[in-house]
Amino acid sequence: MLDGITIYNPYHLGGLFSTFNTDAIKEADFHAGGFPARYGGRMGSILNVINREGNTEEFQGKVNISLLSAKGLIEGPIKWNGMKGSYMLAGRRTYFDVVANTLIKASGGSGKVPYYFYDFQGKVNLDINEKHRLTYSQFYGDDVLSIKGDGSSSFSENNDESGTNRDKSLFDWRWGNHTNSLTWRWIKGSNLILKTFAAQSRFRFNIDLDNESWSTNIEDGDSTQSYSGLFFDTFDNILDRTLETELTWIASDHHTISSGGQFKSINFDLGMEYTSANIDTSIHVKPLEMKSRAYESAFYIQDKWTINDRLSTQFGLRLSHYSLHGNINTEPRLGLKYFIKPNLAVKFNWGRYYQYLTIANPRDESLRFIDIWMGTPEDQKAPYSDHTIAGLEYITPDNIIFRLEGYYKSFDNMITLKQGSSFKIDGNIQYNPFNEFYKTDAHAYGLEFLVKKNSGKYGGWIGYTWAQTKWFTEIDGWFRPNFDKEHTLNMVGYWQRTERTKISSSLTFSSGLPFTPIQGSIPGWTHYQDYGNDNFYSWGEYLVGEKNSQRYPSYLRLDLGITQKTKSKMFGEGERYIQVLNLTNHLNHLFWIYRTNSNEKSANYGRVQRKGFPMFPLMATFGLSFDI
Amino acid sequence: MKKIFTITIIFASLACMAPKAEWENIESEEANKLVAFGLISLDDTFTSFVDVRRTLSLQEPDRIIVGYDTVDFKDSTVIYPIYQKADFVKEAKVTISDGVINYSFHLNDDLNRWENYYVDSTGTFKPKADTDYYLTVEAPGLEKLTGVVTTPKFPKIDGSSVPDTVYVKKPYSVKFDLNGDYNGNISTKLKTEFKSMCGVGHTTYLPPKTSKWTTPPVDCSNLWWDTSEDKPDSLMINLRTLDENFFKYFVKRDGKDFVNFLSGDGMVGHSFGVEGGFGLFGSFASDKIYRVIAP
Repeated sequence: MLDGITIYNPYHLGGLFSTFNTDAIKEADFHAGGFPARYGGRMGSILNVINREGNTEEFQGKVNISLLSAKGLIEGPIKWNGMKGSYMLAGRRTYFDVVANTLIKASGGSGKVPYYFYDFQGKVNLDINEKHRLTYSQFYGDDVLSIKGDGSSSFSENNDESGTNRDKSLFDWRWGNHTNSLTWRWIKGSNLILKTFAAQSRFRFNIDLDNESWSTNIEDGDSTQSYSGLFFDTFDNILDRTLETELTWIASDHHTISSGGQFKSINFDLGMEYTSANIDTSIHVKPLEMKSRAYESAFYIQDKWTINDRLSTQFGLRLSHYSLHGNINTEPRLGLKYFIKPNLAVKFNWGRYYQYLTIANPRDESLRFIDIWMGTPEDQKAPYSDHTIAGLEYITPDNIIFRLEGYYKSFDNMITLKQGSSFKIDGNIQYNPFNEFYKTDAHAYGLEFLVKKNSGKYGGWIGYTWAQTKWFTEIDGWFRPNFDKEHTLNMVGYWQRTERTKISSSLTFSSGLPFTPIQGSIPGWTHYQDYGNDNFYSWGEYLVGEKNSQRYPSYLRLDLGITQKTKSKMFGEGERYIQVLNLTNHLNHLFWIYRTNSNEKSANYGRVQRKGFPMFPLMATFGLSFDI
Repeated sequence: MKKIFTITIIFASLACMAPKAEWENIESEEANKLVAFGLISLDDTFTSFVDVRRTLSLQEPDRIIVGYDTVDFKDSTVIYPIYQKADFVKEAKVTISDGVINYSFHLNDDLNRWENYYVDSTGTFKPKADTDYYLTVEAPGLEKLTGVVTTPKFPKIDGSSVPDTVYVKKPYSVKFDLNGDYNGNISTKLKTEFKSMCGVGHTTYLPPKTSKWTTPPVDCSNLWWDTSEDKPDSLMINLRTLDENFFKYFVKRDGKDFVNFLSGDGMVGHSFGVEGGFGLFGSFASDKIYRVIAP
C-alpha cells in the first residue's frame, strides 16, 4: 500500500527496482504476518509505505542525477485563506536505455535496450483549522518495454520479375499504477480522532504484439499484392475504489481502541485478443475474456491494551464480506508482548486472514514480471490463512537489537488457474479449460533472525531466514512454489569513515529458486485431416520432471557504495556517490533457456542443452545529489 | 567534464563484463520408457497400426545417422548423412489381442521413414465394433507397455438426408446417428485421390448427441488458381465415432502439459489407455456415403 492505497504490482522491472521513490518516503510499516485487525484482504504480508509530508516552513528541493536515472523532489509550505499546509512533489525516470543505446551505437553495435520506467508522486496537506486536515495524495508510474521493427527490401530478376517487401513489427509492453486518495482527519477531542479516506487505484497491463508484411510482385507486367497481419493483445486492467473510515479513541492510558469500516469496489478486465488478416479476410479470436466486478466490505474493532508495565496486548476482530460469495467471514486477531526484562521481550501473534483476490498467472511460468489479479470466482471458496508467530527480542545496552521469530502459516482454498489449451469445435478454436482452477492448499513455516545496529561509526544489520513453503494441488501433489527460498541471508553495513565519507555495502545470498526440470524428450502425435485425408504427425517434446523439483544455482549479490558530502559554487551542498552493483560479477540465473543443438558439425548435435539467462552483471554508476 | 566522461566510459566498460552463460550439456538418470500410439481403425480407408517409440534421456541425441547419400553438383559430389529419429524402437514385439486371438504386428519400414509403424502383415486382423482389444509392446531393456481400448460402435449416416448431387457453393446438411454417447468427427473429400476442388474438403469435430451437420459457407472467389476447370466428381462423406482415448489425446488434448514460453513446452507424459509407458491406445469407427459434388 502507498499512503493506505492498494498497489497491485509494486515493482519496476520484475522487482529489480521498487515502485517507491525512497526520497519521498517518510516511513514504511511492514507486517510479515500476524497483522492487526485494521488490515485485511491479504493472506501473506502487508507493506504500507507512507509518503513524507512537505516542509511546512520553507521551500526545499533535492535533485539526484546518476548514470542510470534522475530524480527530483520539491516541497514547501502552503498558506491559503488563513489555512496552512504543505506540498511535496517527486518524480524520477530511468534513462539507462538512452545511455546504453548511445554507447552501443558509438561502439558500432546493433543491440538496443528497450526498457525504461518513470513515476511521479505528490502529496498535499491542508490544515483547515486545528481540528480538520485534508490530505491529497497521488502516484503515477509506468514501465515501458517497447521494441519496434521496420524493414523493406526489393528484388529484380532478369528484368522479368521484380518486387518489394516490407515488414513491420511491434512489441509494446506497458504496465503501471495510478492512484489518487483524499483523506479527511478530524481531531474530535484530545482522545478521539476520526479519519475518512477515499481512494482510487488503477493498475493496467497491456502487451501489444503486431506483425505486418506487405509484398508486391511484378511478373511479365502483371502486378500482385499480398498482405499478412498478426495482431495479439493481452491485458489486465484493475480499477479499485475504496472508501474507508476509522475512529481512534484513546480511552485511557491503557486502552487505545480503533474501529472502522471499509468498502471496496474492484473491477477486473482480463483478456486476450488475436487477429489474423490477409489482403481480403481477417479472423478475430478472443480466447480469454474474464470481466468481473466484486465488492469487498469489512468492519473491524481492535484494542491496544497495556495491561501492565510488562504485558501488553492488541486484540481485534474483523468481519469481512465478499459480494460474489454472500456470507460474512470472521477474522479474529491477537497480539501479545511480554517484557521478561526491560530489554528482553517475547511476543506472540495469531490471526485468521481472508483474501478475496487471486493471482491468475500461468501455472508453469518460470519468470514473473507482474501478478495478474482477478477476483475469486463465485463458485470457489474464499481463500484464507491462519498465522501463528512467536518471537524474542533483545536490546543490548549499546542499542544493538537481536530478534528471533518463528512462524507457521496455513493456507486453505487457494486456487491455481488451469493451463489453457486449444482445440477445435465446430471449426472454431476453443480454449480449455480457462475459467477452471485447481484447488490449492499450502503451508509455510520458518525462522527469522535479525541483528541490527543503527548508531556509531559502524552499523547495519544481518538477517537470516530459514523458510519451508509447500503448495499442494491435485495434479502436482506437494511442491515448492516458484518464489520459495529455503535460505536467505542479508547483510547490510556502513562505515562512516570520516565526517564527509561513508562507505556502505549490501550482500544477499539465497537458495536458488525452484524450477521444473527437463528430463528428456518424448514423442507426441497430432491428428490432422487435410481435405479428409488422415495425417498423424509426430514430434519430440520435452519430458518434464516433478514440478519445481530442482533449484537454480544459489543467488549472490554484493553491492558497494561510497558517498561523499560535497559543496560547490554551482550546486551548493550535496553528495556525490559511486555505486557498484554485483561487485563479484556473479552469474545469477533468471531462468534456463533450452535448445536441441542443431549444429551438425558439433559433437553435441541433437542433444538437449541449456543456458542460464543472467540477471544483471557487474554494473557501476555514479551520481550527484544536491539540495536546492 | 573530462573527468566525468572518463569515469562514464570506465563504468560503462564494466557493464560489458557480464558473466558469460554458455550452453551446457545436461544429463538425466531416469529410465527410458516405451511410448506407443496404437490405433484400431474401423475405417476401411485407414490401416490399424502401432507406432512404437521410447523416451530419450538428455544425454542422447534426438536423431541418429542411418546411412549416407550423395548429391552431384557440376564439379563435385556432396555426401550427406541420412538421419532417423532416435526414439524409434525397431526390435519391439507388438501384439494386439481380442482376448481370444493374438495378432502379431510387424514393423513396416516402407510406410514412412519418419514414423515407426508396426502393422498386421498377415491381413487377418479385422477389428470389430464395441469390442475390447488389448495391446502388448515388449522391447529389450524397456518396461513392458500394455493397453486396452473398447472400439466404438459404428455411426450411421442417414443417406436420405443428403441429395444425390450437392454443390460446393450451396450449403448442404447431413443427418446421422452417432449410435451412443460418442464424440464424433465428420469429413468430406473427393473420392479421387490427388484431385482437388475448391471448398470440397471439410473436417469438423462433433460433440456427443449431435445428429446433424451443415457445411459452412465457402468462398472461392479470390483464389490464385483457376477454379473454372472444376468438374463434378464423387464426394466421400466420412462420419466417425471416436473412443475416449482418441478423443482425449487428439481433440481435447487432456493431460498434464507443461506450458512455458521461455524454456519451451513439454509434457509430463500422457497415458490414455496404456500402462507401463506413455502414449495412447485409441480407436475410431466409420460410416461413409458417396454423392456427386458440383462446383
